[in-house]
Amino acid sequence: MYRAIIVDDEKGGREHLATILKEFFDIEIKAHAANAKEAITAIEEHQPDLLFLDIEMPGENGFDLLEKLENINFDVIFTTAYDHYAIKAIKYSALDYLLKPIDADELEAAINRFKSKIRNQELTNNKLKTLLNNLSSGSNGQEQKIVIHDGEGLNFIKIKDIIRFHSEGSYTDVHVVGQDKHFVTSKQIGEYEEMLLNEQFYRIHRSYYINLRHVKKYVRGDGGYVIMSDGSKLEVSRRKKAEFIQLLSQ
Amino acid sequence: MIVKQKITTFHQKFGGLLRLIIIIQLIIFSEILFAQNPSFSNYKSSTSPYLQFNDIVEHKNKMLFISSEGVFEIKNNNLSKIITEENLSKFIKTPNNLYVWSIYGEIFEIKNNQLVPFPFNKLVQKRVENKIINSVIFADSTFYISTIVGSTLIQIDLKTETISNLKLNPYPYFVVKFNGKLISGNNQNTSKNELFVNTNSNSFTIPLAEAAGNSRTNVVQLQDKTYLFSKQHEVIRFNNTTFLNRIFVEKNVEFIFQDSQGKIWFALNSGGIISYADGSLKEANITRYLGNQTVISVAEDAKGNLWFGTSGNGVFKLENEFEHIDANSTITYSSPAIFSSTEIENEKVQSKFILKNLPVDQQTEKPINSKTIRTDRVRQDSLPPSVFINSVKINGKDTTTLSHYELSHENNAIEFNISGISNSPSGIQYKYMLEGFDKEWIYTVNTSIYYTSLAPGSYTFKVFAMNDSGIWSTVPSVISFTIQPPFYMSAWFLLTLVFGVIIIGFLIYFLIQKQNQLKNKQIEEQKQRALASELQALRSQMNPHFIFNTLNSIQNFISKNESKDASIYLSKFAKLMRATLANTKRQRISLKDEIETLTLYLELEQLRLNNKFSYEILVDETIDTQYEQIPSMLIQPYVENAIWHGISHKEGNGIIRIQFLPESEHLLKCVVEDNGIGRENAIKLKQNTTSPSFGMNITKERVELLNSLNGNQLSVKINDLKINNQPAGTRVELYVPI
Repeated sequence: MYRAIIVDDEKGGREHLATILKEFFDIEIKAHAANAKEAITAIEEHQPDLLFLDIEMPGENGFDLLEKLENINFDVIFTTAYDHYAIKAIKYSALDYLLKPIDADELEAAINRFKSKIRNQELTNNKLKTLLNNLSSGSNGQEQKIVIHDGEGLNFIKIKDIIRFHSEGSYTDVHVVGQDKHFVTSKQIGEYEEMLLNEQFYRIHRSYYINLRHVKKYVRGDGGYVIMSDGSKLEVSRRKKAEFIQLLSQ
Repeated sequence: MIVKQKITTFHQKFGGLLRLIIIIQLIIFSEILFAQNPSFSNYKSSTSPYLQFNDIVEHKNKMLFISSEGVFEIKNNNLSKIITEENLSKFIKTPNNLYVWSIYGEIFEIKNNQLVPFPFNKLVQKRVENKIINSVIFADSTFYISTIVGSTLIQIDLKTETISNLKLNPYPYFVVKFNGKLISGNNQNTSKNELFVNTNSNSFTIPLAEAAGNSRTNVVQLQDKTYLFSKQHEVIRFNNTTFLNRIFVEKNVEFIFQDSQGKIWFALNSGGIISYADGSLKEANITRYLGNQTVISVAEDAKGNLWFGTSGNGVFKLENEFEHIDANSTITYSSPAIFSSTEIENEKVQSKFILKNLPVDQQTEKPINSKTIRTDRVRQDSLPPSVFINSVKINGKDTTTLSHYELSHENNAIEFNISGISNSPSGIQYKYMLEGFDKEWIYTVNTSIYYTSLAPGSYTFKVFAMNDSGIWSTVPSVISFTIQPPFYMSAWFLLTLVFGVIIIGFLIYFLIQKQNQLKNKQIEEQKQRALASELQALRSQMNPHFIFNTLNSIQNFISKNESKDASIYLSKFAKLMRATLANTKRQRISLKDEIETLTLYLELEQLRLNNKFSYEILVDETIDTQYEQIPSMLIQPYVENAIWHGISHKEGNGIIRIQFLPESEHLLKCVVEDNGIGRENAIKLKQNTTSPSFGMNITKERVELLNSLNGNQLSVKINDLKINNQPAGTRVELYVPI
């Protein structure tokens, strides 16, 4: 039986989540908290396994709460109505989140991910640390870190150190500065494209998603090709040429 | 008039090569001046228009002309030949008869348009010994015939009908009737270049400015008893006792003639005729006629009209504007044409001219020697004069006179002011030469010498002065100067200039290119921004429309108390809203996102319409939906249209089929197909309903905007589907650039 706490400033939101969580018999709602202060008390009292944490709250928000806690021995599923910026940070940190109004199917998927995870508190703490770090580094996306999950575990990589993503079928190779080998992840290249949108990355080709900061040289041609900082030579799709050149010249 | 005066002044200041320019100018002016003088009439032979007319005479109220072909007269304004005889030289008019002589010493009398040979012709020819006749003079019933070579003067006395030879020493170059006497002139072999005048009362010499050249020599007595002597460009006026004055004309003088009005006429070789109002030869009185023609003969008729015979251009008649006074008072002689064409070698070495009384002894045939030259000459100034360059003006500005000047290229107008000092009070002559510009010495009495527009280079100006005794200064006054070429003419500069121009050209080219790029980019960016904001506005317009339509559907569920459906519906609506909001921020979204959004939308509509229609979304397997991007919110309005106007009015179940097919490498074909009532019926229905087709209007604008942004690529094709000629739905094909 997993112990859970729901943190949300809106009563309706807490009750709706509690209602649909009743469907999951192995999850017990230990407490409801309407703000950070209540939440800290509840966490100390109940030592939960899982925290449903609303981000937007009056006064101290969800992230402020996490920062206040000295020890975190639970997983977090963020709930939020709409906050593009925060969601991005959460995504970078490979943490889970639910969008309000909460869809029953999505809740189930999130619960299943929680259950299937090997409990590794250090990893969770690292993710949270990354998240908070990303949030505090402001809007400079390239300074933020992204979690790359490869076969051996989680890697916290600064975005600016990523040179390129290379699609290899259903896998994606991630090439990073100063690494002899690349990371192989099971995420599709498009997911990274979506994640790193507006972060000076560009999909020059069906197979390549590159960090524009690492472009050393563009050689004109039919579509042309780029030479990256790691010396790799990547073809630019003919259709993307014009837009790519425009981006480079900005 | 002004023009002519200027030309003369001009000439005297410049000289040298500038003569060439003057000649050219005169050619031009001559046309104008001739046109301005309608009183000049020109007569030519219709058969031989280029004849040379050696002499003119009025005889029995008719003008007669000697040409190389014979004797001509004027008939019907044409010169027509009345006597054919070559080698005729000049007329001789006696009170009763008209004679003409040939260059071989034959004399003919003209009677009834025929030549009657003179009875002594054979005797004369024997004495002439095949020599060319220089001149024939008739005075006191006596012909005097002189030859070009030899000192013999043949004398034919008509009264006594005797022929005798007079030996002259030195031999005469010419013999003229002079002051009631005959005078012979000669070049003496001397280094001195002077005119020696020996009259009965005294004798004197006049120095000549120019070294002897190939030119006629003329001596004329004027009405005021003064004399004019001309040789080459120089005309000297003197009287019995002294030198009076001297002028220079720009061309060699062919002859001098004074008409009954007192005007002095100079015929110039290739220079037309110039006329001075009187013998004082004041420059202000000059008139010039007949351009650059060579006039070799002149005569005045009884009416005072002047006749000019030219070499090659017929005869000109100048109508007399004044009443005729005294035609016979003019005494004119000039040396024959052949004079100047012979003895050129002698002319070059012999430079002394003697003009003196011819000691004719008509009683005896013994040779008469010329008188010894008297030495009691007036004012013989044997001291060479000194010459100075007083001032040098550069570009009109006075300068400190230096012996050498370094001038920049624009300082190229130089005026020298010269002066000479001699013991004699008058008559300082100068010769000067600008080495590097003038090819020969230029003689002048002017003290201002002006050069303009000198080309860059080195020049040396030298000037000598001569006193009126013909003594030249021993040392010239010299000033040298160098005009630097302008910097833009030096080789390095030109080279630099060429490279500079090329480089600047390139720079300008690149700058313009760059500027254009920048400008285009800015324009493009502005355009993009403007259009993007417009699109944004359109999308936000679209969203409320969709939102309220959907909310209307949710309300339906709630009012029907179908809470489960309402919850699912709401959840999907929330997702769609989120997706729509996310997509709104982006101009293009991946095909995958578009399909997800469309699916949500279709599910919502399905629920709302109680599963009245089914749908399918087919994507060609070659399309990478994650990778390909299309404009956001592009297809939804067409789907919405299919549902609301096609399916909703249809009885029975409808089908919406959405297909994504690769049309070409750059074009994605999106097909939205329904089996609804068709557009025609929908329009009919629409007239009965208030439901707006807001989304479609906006979409149409959007297509236009997108096309103006990206070029005309996006296109929409709408087909009405028919089965058995009945409406069976609508098929919309969108061709979307990817």
